[in-house]
Amino acid sequence: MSAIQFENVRKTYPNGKTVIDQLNLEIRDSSFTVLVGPSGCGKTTALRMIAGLEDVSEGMIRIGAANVTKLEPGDRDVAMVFQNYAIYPHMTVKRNIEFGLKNQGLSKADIVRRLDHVISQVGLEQYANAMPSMLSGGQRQRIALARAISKQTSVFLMDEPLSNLDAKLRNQMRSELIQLHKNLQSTFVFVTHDQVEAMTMGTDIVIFNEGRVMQTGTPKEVYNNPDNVFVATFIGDPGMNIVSLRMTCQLGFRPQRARFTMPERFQGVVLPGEIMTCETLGMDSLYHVRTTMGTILVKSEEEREFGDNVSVYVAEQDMFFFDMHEQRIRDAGRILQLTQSILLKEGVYVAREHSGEAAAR
Amino acid sequence: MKLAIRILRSMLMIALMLIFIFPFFWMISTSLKTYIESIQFPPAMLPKSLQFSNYVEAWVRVKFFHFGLNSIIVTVLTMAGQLFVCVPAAYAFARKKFALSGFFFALVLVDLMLPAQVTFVPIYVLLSDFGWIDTYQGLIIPFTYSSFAIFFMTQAFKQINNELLDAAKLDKATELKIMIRIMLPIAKPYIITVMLFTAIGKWNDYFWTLILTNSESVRTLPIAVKGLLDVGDGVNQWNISMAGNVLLMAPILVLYLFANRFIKNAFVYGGIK
Repeated sequence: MSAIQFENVRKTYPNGKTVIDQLNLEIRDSSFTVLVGPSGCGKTTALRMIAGLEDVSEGMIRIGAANVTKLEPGDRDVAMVFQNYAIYPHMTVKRNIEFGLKNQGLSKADIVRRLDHVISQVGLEQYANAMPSMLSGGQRQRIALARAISKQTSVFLMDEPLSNLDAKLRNQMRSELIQLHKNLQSTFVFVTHDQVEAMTMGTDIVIFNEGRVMQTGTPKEVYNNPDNVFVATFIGDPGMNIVSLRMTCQLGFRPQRARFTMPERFQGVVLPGEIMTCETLGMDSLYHVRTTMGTILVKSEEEREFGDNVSVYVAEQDMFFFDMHEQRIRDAGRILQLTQSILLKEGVYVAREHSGEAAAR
Repeated sequence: MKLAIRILRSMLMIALMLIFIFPFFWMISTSLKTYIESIQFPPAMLPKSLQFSNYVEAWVRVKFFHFGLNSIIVTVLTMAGQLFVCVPAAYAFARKKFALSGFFFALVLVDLMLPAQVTFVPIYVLLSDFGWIDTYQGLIIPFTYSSFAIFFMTQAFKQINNELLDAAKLDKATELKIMIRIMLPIAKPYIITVMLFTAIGKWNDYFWTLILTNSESVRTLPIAVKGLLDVGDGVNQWNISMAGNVLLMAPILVLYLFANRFIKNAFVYGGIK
């Protein structure tokens, strides 16, 4: 059992800055949990507190049944992979991995067995006696992985381990890590600022902002059902469009769900606008469209040119409403009322298929 | 035009090199002259025949074995002592926050700026009270502390990536192990550089040794070699004196050549973060 629990955890640095306040979080046993958020949001601090590399100012952290709040990093049954690999530069690949095992007091035979196993697992057999300076970034990251795997811990912590790799290698390592998680069945906690990484790798996602958890859930849940404006705009590529409605609330919709032509059985809003910029992504394009409700993004396979006058169709079921505190409005009656009120907004039309009275132009 | 600048630059370099090399050349040349050659005017650049016997005479007159042994004892033990005292101090300054750490580090820096002439009287009085005048411990123990070594190693330790230490903590390494197995090997080029400075400084030290000793028993080579100037009944036998100086310098040159290669190697291996 190695679920991780934060109970009312606060972290205040000696300079008086509180980076994490009242953190209550449970990381499920055997999950691949990704902590994601912008720089300085507290995700790395949270990870380092699990590892024991940062003191906990207040509150309690449990790994499994044990309270580890005051334990030394080496006694917590955790392994960690660092952003800059943290390979000991003066030791060979083998010695790098051995160092921790020897400190644990394992027998020689045990160490040799584990070494052989992990070195072949990450494909570094040829380099067992090489110095790290002779190896590439990807290979160094594999040493770090091998070192972590060799400890056979129930918790596996990773602090932006892919951010120093080039794009192609990063994609490859991503799937290797997913595979590794399946094989090891231990609890993975992965920190990243890249929401794409979070969405593709995580079984669970925890979205941080300014030291607080904004939402937790599976990738699908946080994408389809965001709790607040922050999550809506942070998750997705690109994030949700948010437009203000008469000061009191906000309307959100995904750029992917907006259309330039009216779909069948359409019921929703139509925004007339003009294409400002167009980024070709290959299969589809990303358009910046200036409308009466501000500039919005549309990701569409339909071809439009710079300067074209267009109508943007957003279906009712694709609309999300947020209140003045940027929290999601889930009350059905209130949503209906808000949908009606958009009608009153100048330059916006509400279309009903076959009703004939609407349409953009 | 470009060629002219290059020629000019090369000539300047050669001139500079000559300025640096000449004293060495003159010392070695003089050490191989006869007494007459060494004082003749105009001076001869090179000896007519090589007088290697000067070296034998210098060796015997200086009691090289006795003073050389003293020099080696004092230098080696000072270096060892500095490793023992300054490495942990530097590690603490670089990696720990403790009460008044900033203040103590400032003290180290202040000491770095104080010339020895300011502090030698109180230090003499102190060591005299200890009864350490004319003893090995008087020549060694006070010098196991070095502001320069602490400052230099602190800077070296500070450059080491924090992640490495975090990784070592997760590897269940104790503080002592982190210092010895991780920090020291990575900072090796810096440590060797500091030790080289210490060795050269201690080997050549004249001032402190002269102050802290009265008799020949624990005195070191520089003072003994200086004595060569006074032995010829008021006549300075420069050829013998220079032979003594070459003997005094030789170990340092060898040490430097050896350590220089080692430092380069260490930099290549230690060069990744």
